[in-house]
Amino acid sequence: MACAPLLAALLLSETTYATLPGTKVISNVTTKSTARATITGTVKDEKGEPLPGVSVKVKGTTIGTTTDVNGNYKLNIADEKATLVFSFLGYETREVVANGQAIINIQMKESTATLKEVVVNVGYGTKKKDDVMGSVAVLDAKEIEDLPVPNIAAALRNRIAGVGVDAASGKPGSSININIRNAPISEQSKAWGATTDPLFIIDGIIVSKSEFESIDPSMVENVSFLKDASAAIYGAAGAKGVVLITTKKGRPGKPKISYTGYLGYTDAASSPKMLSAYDHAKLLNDGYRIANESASNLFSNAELEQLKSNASKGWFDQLWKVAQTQRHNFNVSGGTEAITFFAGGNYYSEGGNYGGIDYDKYSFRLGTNAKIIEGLTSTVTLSTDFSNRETQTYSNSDNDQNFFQQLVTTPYWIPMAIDGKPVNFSNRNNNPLAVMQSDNYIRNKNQGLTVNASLEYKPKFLKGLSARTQFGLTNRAGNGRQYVPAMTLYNFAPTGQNNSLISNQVTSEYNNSNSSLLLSTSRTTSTQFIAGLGYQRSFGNHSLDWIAATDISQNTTEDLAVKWSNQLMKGVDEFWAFDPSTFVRHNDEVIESAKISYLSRLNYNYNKRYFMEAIARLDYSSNFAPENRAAVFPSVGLGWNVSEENFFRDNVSFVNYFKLRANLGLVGDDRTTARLWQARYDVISDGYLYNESPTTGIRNQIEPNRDITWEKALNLNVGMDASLFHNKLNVTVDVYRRKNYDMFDKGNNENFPMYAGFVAPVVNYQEKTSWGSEFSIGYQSKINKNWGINSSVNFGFSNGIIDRMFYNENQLWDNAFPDLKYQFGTNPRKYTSENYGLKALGMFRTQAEVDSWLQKYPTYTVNGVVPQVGWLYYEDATGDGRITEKDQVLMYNTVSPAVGFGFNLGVTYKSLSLSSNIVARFGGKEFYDSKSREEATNTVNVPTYWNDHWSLDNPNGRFPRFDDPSIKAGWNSTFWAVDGTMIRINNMTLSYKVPKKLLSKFGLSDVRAVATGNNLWTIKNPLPFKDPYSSTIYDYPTLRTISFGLNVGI
Amino acid sequence: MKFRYRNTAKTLAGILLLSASVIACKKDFLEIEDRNGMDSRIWDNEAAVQFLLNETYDLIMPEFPYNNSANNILYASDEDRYSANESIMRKFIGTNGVLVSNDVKYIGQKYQYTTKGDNRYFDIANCNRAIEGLKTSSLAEDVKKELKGQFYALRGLAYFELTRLYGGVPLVLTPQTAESTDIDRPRASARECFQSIVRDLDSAMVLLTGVSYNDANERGKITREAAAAIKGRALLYWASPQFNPLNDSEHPYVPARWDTAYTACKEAYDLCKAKYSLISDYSKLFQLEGASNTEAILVRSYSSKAAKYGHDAEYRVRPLSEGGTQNTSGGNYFAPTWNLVKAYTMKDGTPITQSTSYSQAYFWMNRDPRLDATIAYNGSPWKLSGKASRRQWAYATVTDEGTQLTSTGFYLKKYSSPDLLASAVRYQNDFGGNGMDWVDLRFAEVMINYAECANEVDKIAEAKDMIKQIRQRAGIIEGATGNDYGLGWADTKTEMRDLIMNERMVEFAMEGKRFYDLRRTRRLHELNGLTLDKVNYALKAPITATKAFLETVNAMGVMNRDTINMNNKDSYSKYFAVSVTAAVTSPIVTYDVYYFFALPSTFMNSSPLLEQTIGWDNGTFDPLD
Repeated sequence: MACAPLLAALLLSETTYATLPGTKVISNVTTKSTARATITGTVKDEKGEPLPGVSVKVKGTTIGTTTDVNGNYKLNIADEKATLVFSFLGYETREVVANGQAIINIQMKESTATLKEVVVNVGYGTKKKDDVMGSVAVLDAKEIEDLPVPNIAAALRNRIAGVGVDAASGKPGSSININIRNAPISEQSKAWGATTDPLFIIDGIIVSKSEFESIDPSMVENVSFLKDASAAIYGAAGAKGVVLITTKKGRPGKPKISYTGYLGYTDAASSPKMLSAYDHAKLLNDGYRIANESASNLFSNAELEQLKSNASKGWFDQLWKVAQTQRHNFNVSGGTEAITFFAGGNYYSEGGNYGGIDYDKYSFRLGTNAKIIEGLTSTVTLSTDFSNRETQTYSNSDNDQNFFQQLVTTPYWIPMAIDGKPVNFSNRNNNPLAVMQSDNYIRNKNQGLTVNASLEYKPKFLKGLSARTQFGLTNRAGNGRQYVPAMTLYNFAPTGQNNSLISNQVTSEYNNSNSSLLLSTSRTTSTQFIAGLGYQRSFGNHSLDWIAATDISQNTTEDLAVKWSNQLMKGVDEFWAFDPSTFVRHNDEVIESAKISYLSRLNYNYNKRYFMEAIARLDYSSNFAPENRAAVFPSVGLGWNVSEENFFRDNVSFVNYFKLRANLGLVGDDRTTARLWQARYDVISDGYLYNESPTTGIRNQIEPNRDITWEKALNLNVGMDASLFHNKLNVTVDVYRRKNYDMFDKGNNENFPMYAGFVAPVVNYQEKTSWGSEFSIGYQSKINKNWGINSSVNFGFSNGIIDRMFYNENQLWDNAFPDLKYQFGTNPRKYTSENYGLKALGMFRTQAEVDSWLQKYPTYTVNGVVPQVGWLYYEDATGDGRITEKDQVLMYNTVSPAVGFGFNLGVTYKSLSLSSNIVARFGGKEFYDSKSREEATNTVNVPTYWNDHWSLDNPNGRFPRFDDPSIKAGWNSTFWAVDGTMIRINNMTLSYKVPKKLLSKFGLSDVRAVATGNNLWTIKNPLPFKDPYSSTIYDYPTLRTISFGLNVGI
Repeated sequence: MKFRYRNTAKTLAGILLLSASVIACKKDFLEIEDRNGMDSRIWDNEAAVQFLLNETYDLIMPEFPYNNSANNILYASDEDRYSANESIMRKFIGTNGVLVSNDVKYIGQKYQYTTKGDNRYFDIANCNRAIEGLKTSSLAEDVKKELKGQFYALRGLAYFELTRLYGGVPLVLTPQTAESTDIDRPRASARECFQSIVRDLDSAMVLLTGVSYNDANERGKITREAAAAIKGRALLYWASPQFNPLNDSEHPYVPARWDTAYTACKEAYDLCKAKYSLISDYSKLFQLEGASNTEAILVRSYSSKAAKYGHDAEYRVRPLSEGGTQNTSGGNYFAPTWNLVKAYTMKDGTPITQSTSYSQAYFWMNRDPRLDATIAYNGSPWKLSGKASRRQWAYATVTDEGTQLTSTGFYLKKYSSPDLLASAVRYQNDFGGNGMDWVDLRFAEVMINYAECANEVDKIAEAKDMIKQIRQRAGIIEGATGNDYGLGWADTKTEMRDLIMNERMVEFAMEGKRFYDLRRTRRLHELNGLTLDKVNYALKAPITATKAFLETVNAMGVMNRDTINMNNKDSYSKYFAVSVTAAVTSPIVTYDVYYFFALPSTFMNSSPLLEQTIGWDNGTFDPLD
């Protein structure tokens, strides 16, 4: 290993600032022996650049000043012996005794917070990492602010161990889900509004996913993730983990103004490559010919020749274009000792690559902190955001599959329009061109408004005591509009030997007269009120930190959608243009919930060596019956800072910090939109007719379960944090075991007799045990004055098993394949639907092979068809002499990757820095997605890999004939499996910081130029025809974004 | 300074107190109502309970034949040549294999009732919940009585349907929950089921005493009389051979059941007599609605004008020439068979087998007037689309009917509306059709049920009196001395029993009663070996010329065929030759196990405690116990 010595050298080199020549403060003070009461000087950073804005104060007084743009200061002092305090954000504070000096020049050193000093938001307060007993990860927003992504979630991919990110597709505005430690959810609870989303908190207030998605990364200071029982502080809502965002605040001093913006271009990271007209026709002919189909099914040779010269592009290529994305934000912050503020605005827009898809949003944020009187401070934050999502593709689904499928599967010989007339192809009656020309649209607008105000009082009479109240209000309003006018397409006369081609002869007009207008509004309001007391004090070796609070919250969501059909006035997209008698209430829903909670947390440590934490939260949730509303969520944590022990310090010198910690606790989840404990009778419009009078009916919708209560999870986490080699190498390891119980499950209806007369109620039943480990290793170092390195890797192993669930033994025989659909008690890495398939033995490449096979197995058929040459053959798992769906068995021991890594690599050279995020996963199996291996037909095109199919001319083709019956049946098999190893550069950012010397002339403090690529390239792609992040080729592709940005600060 | 600190401490305490009291004041902070639907408050709200009742009516009330394929087994018999699509109906009469245990899914196969016919027990659960819920309801007593009475009656009706199909079924009479133990109960015996049905209908009769409905917007609700009639019907079944076989050594015949049935049927008759009567024109049984139909007791309303409440019977009975369909590839519904036509007596009540004047070639002549009122045949007058002098033609290759000639030579007139224009025949996009109400139980049935019981308890005179009234209304003449409307042919209880059975077949032709009557009386075996027959009207040679002549419009502006005198044999036989052949070549095969169908397999699998019926899948449950 060539890099091993280098690594060792990096680890062992003593190149930290503390020992760099000339950086020791005292040695750098220039002393003059005159005794004057005025001191002047220049403050510079370690590179010798002047530092403006540094606070210079006389210790113990209010006398002070700040440095000017050139880093100069001037200060009058009364006492020559006074001590000057130099402080500046991001730099280590320095104290210098004036001692009669008139000029004090000082060089300040950037503070690199060591692992234990990182400040972490743990809910209802912050802590130094040293005081944290659980698995809490923290992400500095700086790491992600340059990425051209729509929101924070999108930037988190492969960055935090144990935090999974899953994007529905590359479509602008499509949803991105975060899942902490594979939080489980039963199929049934999904149906009742439960979610795998973690709880989102912004500055202490619970917010919805929409708020989390709309906050711009540039407004964020850091993001904390509570992955284990630390979330017990959030009690009944913490079972799926908690994501806490701390926003940027203003600091006293000269106002800072900064602008950040980029312009980017998006294109498919991997665009679907489909067969050309000629290749497609040839593929079909090859199959038809060997199957002895009549000439009337084949393309004639003349037609093939004609198609060969036909250079027409597919619908995808015609519509798809590179799109633009941009983001701009503008922040101002500053203030005095008494009042500080932060104000910002941002704009984000992302155009779609076809079909009028567009997503943009903008937001404003204003935060102030004020010291009202000594000890009493208030914080008020106001923010508002607006977003708009549009499309002309008939559906705002996240992957736009219906529309996209047509773009890729329509044969290349079918033009989108002939003589400007949209072609009605294969009765799909939604030709993209016609759809877009019809002026249809879907527009979803969304607007959020939040107020977050708090008051904190730290009385002088009792040191360490604080009292705090906080009020949060979040309001979100949305309105949607879907307009579908009638549209006209044209049927063209089929032509060619097999009637698959079309002529330019219009045979008839096809009018899709379905027209409608759907209007919807929604409103969500949530309020939260927190009042609490805290006490923080050290007595000798004993440190104590205690909080107690009450938290009251309330949520209301109202939705209403109405619909009109049958447009009477063409071209008018207003409701009065539609037939009034068609008006229907499309959807109408009101969901309300409320919660009252009491919580307390106590931290204690002895001499920073032994730590203890205890959390308890009592929740009352309106989602459950009065007698089942209350529950207590306790948690306890222990820590031992081994590196503080003398025996350790004295003997293990290369370890700077080493802490062992463990915590155990209970968390819950009450988040369900349904009132599962109450009977519900839904009023339905058609009841019964008495004579000629229609009446309304009412229908019992759910079988209530009065006993329904929280889902619960008992979390055990054991972890270790270590800093080695002068804090250059940081290692965090967590091992966890989680027992989810009382999870919502619905007894299969089949578990109750059919004469019971009800559908099974939702019950607290399912249990699942999960376990795993997470490793984060970070390394950062200055190699020399110019070069620096920072990198991290995270990886983990996890698995889980369902210990208990409702399933019906009696009815297994009634279930179609696969009978083993229940994952009860099985290893999900093995027993997953992906892993079911036929075991392929090979392909019949010659007729002789077919004949000898049939001689050996005379009854052999595949899905009832006698095998032919060019088809695949399979293992007969059932031994009944034929291949049917029942022969699908577990193919592999596991299809999941053995291990996956997320790397963050950063290199700095002088003012240049390059950082990138790389993901790699090894082992496991990937399968050709079911869409890509759909059977080719005269109306369905397939990916280009099918060019290498078996035919008489190409008996060694990689792929079988398209008419293989197992392909027609859509069965998966080992034939379609490939090694799942994947290596990919998610993103790469190159930035250049313009030296301050150049900037000072223009009055600027910071200028940075950034070039970024997102979803940049895949070094090893298991299936080269699609991006590994796309689930099928019919989905809106994953996008590659290249962007160029600028960051300017004053 | 100290003072100030205390002040702030007070402020602080104040804030905390205030916040605590905010919560305390809002004691009901966590008491949030479900705003998307009605919760248990439903029972205190009259309209809400009425909504539930409406829904329950919709689910339980019998429907127009072919309007819900889940029910169609109920219309299988020898009177109708079934649609080729109705495989279960054809299985029942053995022309398409045999019924297997999972075929009759009337109880259903789903744990829901969002679609009618999903699961009858979900419909029963509505009744159970309402009966229980109304016990503690704060509604006025008379309101509760009226609502409860209807729920009881509907539950009785639902259990009666199940019991006559399957024999005993699980008897669930209280609302069930996942914890309740009742749901683990196995099948109740048929005896227990009938006891419960009678109890429910008795309750309904008591609760609905004095309740009257306004026809304009309450037509179709169950009255006290209707409950009495259903009860009479139920006890008739309990006494009948299906449940009370005559020659079964293990299950001795219990004649006393007939006494009970007689009492109930007579009570029903006496009650109904005060409010209902036979209408004078038999042909208008389904055409008249509301006050003018004095015969309709249990009615399900349909409408051509109210969205989603129509049916397509008009389209299914009409010939192609007037906007209907008789598509033999699956669309032909309501095709009366020759077997049915033969059941009609002569005009004086003499069975055709006894008649000297009956001739197959002119089968329509001199027959029970109900034949002409019910069935159209070649040359018979049939007013449709307002054409008063219209006649129906069904000879081979008749041009008007194109390829959709009736498969039996007959059309059903019963569910057609003479003045409905051809363009309005179809029920589509939620509107149209004839909107005819479905009359499931009419006064004539109350009378015939009474007659049947009277005969069985040796009160033949009472029985004959009832049948006589029926026949008088039908237009049957008294005939020669001793003929007594044809009743003179029956001297013994057995003869009278056969006569009543035939009377039912004729009076209730195509009303979905035949299937049940055959099973109730254990007469299925009488069908075995028969075929479903049709009548052919061949054109006399030279065929082409004859057809051309018949379809030529004469000087009077009508086609020559419309001048044929149906009562003149020569006038008719000059052009047509009538013959009878099998409409379905495979003969009818039925089995004794069809008297009680098997519980469907999904239903069986849902509880290990359920026993299958004897005769099916090694079943052990005896419906005769």
